[in-house]
Amino acid sequence: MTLVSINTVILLLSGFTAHKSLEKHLEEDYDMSKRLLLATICLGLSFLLIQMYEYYNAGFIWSDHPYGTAFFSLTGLHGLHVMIGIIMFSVVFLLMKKGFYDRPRYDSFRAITMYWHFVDAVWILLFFIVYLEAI
Amino acid sequence: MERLEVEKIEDHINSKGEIHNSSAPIILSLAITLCLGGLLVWPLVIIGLPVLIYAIYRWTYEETILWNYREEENDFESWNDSSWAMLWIIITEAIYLRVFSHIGSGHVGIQSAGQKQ
Repeated sequence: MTLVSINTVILLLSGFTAHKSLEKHLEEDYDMSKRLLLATICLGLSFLLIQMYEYYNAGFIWSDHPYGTAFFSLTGLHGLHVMIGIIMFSVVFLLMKKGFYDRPRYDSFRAITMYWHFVDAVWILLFFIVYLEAI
Repeated sequence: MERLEVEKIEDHINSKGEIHNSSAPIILSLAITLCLGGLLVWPLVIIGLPVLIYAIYRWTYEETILWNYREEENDFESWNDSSWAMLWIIITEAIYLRVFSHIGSGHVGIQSAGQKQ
């Protein structure tokens, strides 16, 4: 449970850094925006690594019982979304590094940030359904 | 190849919206299908992952070429196409996840591993 709580904090923190990164981008502070975006990617990767560790130490597999099926399918689907978000943020980060985002092109960046907040919100929902409700 | 793509874009420069015959979306769809198929038959991932990386590279590459031919339409206060598209994706996904959660917690009857034992 401690690990899941830490993971929740990590994901929420990544939502905050993503939001700040977009804000800095709008303020045309591109260096800070890049740093915050990199922090978001790292936090997202940390979330996935902790999730993998949790899977490895779960003590049950998806086919053991209904909870196992629900646990792995719901958190797995969410993890897939986190992975997609990380890929999209990485593409934006690489484009920023190449200077493509120096001009005020922010639409795709804003869309991905919106997606990331959605992934955050879904995790809160899953946290209650999969972890707290099951206690 | 790059020149050819640019010419195609210029041909349609006066069309409303953006028209270009990119293969990137279909390659990306194929890659995602292969990767998901890899969950059932794992060797598919070996083909799927490189195709996925190539598709993302290809799409990004084409997209950045297109930027040079687009007008600066970004208005900080307005919502542009990709934001709307993302909003619809989020709504669809939220419905999907809700149904999934309902099946997981309601019909099956969610129980912790401890309760099961």
